[in-house]
Amino acid sequence: MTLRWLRMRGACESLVMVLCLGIQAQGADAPRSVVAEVEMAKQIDAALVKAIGQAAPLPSLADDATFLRRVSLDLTGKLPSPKEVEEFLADRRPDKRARKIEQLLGSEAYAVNWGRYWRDALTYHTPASGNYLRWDLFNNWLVEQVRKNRSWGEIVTALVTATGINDECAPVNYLTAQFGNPIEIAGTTSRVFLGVQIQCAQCHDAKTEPWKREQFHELVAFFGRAKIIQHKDVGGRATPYAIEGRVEGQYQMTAKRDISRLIAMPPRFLTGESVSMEASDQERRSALARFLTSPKNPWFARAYVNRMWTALMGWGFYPGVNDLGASAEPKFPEVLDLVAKEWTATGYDMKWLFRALANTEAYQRRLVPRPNAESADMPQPSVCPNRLRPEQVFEAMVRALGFDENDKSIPAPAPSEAPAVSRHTGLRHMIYYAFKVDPSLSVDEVQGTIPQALLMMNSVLVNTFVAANGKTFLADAIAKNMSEEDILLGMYERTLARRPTGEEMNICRRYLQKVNDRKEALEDVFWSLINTTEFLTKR
Amino acid sequence: MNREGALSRRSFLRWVGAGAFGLSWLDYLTLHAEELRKAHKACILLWMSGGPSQFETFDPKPGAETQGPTKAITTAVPGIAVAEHWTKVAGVTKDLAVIRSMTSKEGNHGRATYLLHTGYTPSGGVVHPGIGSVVANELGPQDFDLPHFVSIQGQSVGPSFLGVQYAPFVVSEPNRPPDNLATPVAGPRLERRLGLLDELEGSFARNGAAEQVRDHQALYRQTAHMVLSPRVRAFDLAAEPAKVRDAYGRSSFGQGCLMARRLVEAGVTFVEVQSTGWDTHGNELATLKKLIPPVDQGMAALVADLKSRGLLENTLVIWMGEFGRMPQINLTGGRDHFPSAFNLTLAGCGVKGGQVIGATDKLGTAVAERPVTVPDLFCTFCQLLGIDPRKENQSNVGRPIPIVEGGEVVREVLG
Repeated sequence: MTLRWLRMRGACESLVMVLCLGIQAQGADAPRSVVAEVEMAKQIDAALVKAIGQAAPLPSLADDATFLRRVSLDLTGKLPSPKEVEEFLADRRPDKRARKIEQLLGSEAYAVNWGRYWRDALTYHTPASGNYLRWDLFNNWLVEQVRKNRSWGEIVTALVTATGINDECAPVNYLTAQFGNPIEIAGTTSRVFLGVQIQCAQCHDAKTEPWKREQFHELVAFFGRAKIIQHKDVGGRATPYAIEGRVEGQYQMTAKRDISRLIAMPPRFLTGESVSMEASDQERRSALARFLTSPKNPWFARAYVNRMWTALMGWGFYPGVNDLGASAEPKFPEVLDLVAKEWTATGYDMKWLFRALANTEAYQRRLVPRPNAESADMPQPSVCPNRLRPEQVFEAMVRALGFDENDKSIPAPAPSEAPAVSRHTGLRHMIYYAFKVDPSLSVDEVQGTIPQALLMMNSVLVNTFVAANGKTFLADAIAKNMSEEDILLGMYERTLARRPTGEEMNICRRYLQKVNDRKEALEDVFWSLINTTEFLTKR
Repeated sequence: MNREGALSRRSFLRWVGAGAFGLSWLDYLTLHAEELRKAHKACILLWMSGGPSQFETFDPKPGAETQGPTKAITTAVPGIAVAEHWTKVAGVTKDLAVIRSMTSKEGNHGRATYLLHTGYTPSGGVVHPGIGSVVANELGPQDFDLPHFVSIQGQSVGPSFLGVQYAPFVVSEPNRPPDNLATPVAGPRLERRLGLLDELEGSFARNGAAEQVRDHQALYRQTAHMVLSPRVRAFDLAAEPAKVRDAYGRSSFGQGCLMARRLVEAGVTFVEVQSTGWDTHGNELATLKKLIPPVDQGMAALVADLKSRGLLENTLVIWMGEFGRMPQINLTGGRDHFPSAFNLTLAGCGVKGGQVIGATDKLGTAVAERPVTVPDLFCTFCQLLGIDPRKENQSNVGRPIPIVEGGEVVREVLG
């Protein structure tokens, strides 16, 4: 038994390596026109301005505090520390924003943040249990790929071609999390990596897209010889699942008019490229990986660029990230094409894209409202508000309230039925569970829920740490005889990473005067700041 | 609440001011609750997650080799037999309509759960709203301070394009009130805090986030309304006499059924109570022996209690899972998925009780009479609740989607 495990593990890793080298070799030979990121950023800005014409004046640049909070959240999932804010505001260098972007991209928090993003994007919808989805292993593997700045093409290849046991070979979890079901896997692969919702053509020709039923099932056929195996009772390993190749057999589609008739499907990609029906499991999936990541495939780069653009800007070239639609017209198509083309030429370098986007003026301008989804209005070349993701909410709360995540004295009631998505325990789990959301949902579709509001309003966690007694910021500030003004500044700094405006200070002072009990009043202000929209929103 | 789920300021103040007119909170709300209860229908879905075997629930085949060792028992209605262990449900069959001829093509848990919650098979594009959200949207009264849709012990299926105000409010453990429902500061102080919060939001709203602030404020008003409402006691089972709590059974499921009754009494439109563990691929008998009694007790107590309180005539009770299980018992002593013939039970809200609709063949391998598809079932739900199944809602992909596509009302249910 042991020997088999070792052989399989070795097989999984060496296979992935072989494929990676293969991809790299291709990339190195391909003609390169890698544009430096800062130059790319300038080109993006120019293209945006050209597209909207000179009709309306451009929004002004965001102030430093706003930019710093925004870029810290986007790249690292955390707010800047008070010291960082102070230093950044005091920094006189003209390129300080570019330097900050660089610094954040080099941090461990960047890898953790984006590893988690992909973990959620890839597994959010599966009801799979812990046996089918090795949550921590998968998470850590994704974080590692981001940390090493592995090419996105290589990452996708590793996921699609993974073979082995899921508690040893982390990328296999992409397949086992979907129960090894080739239909689900093909549908997810197409949706997440290509932005093509071809799964609606599973039963009939797609109604709103040009996909034919056969095309969906030809895509599924690439996974047609992969099978899922359950390994029972393997000493101390619970029940791991594995993906192995079938030696023979074909994926079959039910004939539409006669459901007792099955038609063997050739593995053929959306671009028409195909492999032989005699191809083995690995040959099929390697071919699919090549077709997916090929520069000839128009959707691969567009889907990723659109997704990252949406995550940073709060609006996208397409209304959603899941559905680029073969016939939908994107906004700013020339910008999308430009970025997609250049990013492809880098070999799908993830950091390159973040640098290029974050260094645009568009990304650094002040917040503007999101245009109505139905309207034909062009979005302004700036950033729209976007909600913090669950782990970002947690980080923001730790910073604002100053609690220890492992503090067992604070109740963190765990729901009796936690879905496979949540694997944390304690306070992080509690926040994560309350705020969990599919990262692929369009910005318009994500809204606050009552349990979230209840948590922010009434939880022991929030109310304990906004209190003026105990080991809290406020208790400490009062004990130190801090001035009212300094306390208010401190609260704004901790919660929103900025100074209050003159008007906000007046509102707070008026409130403090109105309420008889000074301690209570200060607690109320602190409470209010945590419960603002802004606390949960990227500005 | 208006259509956007935002509580109007006027109605919020009306609740807050009730005490000032000499009418106690409780009097005022009890009166209102009476009106609500009479005026509007409600629905309780008992969801058997995993797919309950029809042989071991309400379509036993005594004597057939496919039945396995589970025996059948008679019930209060001569001619209707159910599987053993369902002794309490056997006592309320006069109020139940058992449909034994349900049939579908979805044998995958995720897809079948979606189908049995939305009436649609999942397609890659449209995300259909679950029945809880649909019914809440259609029937939920305006100006109501509790969530319209509560889901106990499960996530159910969400509202999709109907909007977040029809999202299920999830109660994970009915034996304790939902987390964070109680305000740790007195009502007036909470209101004062909310007033300050309102003022402080102005700056962000003016700086590009007006839409976000508006939605956030609407959510907070809705939440605060619930927190400050005495009706929130519906979630607190400690208010119920021990005798009643015992009658439902002290299991989570039993207490969940009791909470469902209290919520419906308080004016909540749709409550789903989930029981998990019905996916008995192996070791079926031992599993079901533990799983059935709490559900048997809770379900029977619920039907009887609703009836004795005069609520059953306006409350539809549904017992179902996502599919049935195979006629053959497999090598690990269990049954695998079987969507082509499964059963479910309805009661209340105009359902003619004491009857069986449809039948499977002698061995239970296929539907033999009167097949009922899931769209048929959903048309029937709509008929019983007074909802137009062909009404269209604007979907997330820009085209209108009817509440139910296809299907016909199963007239026999109405008698």
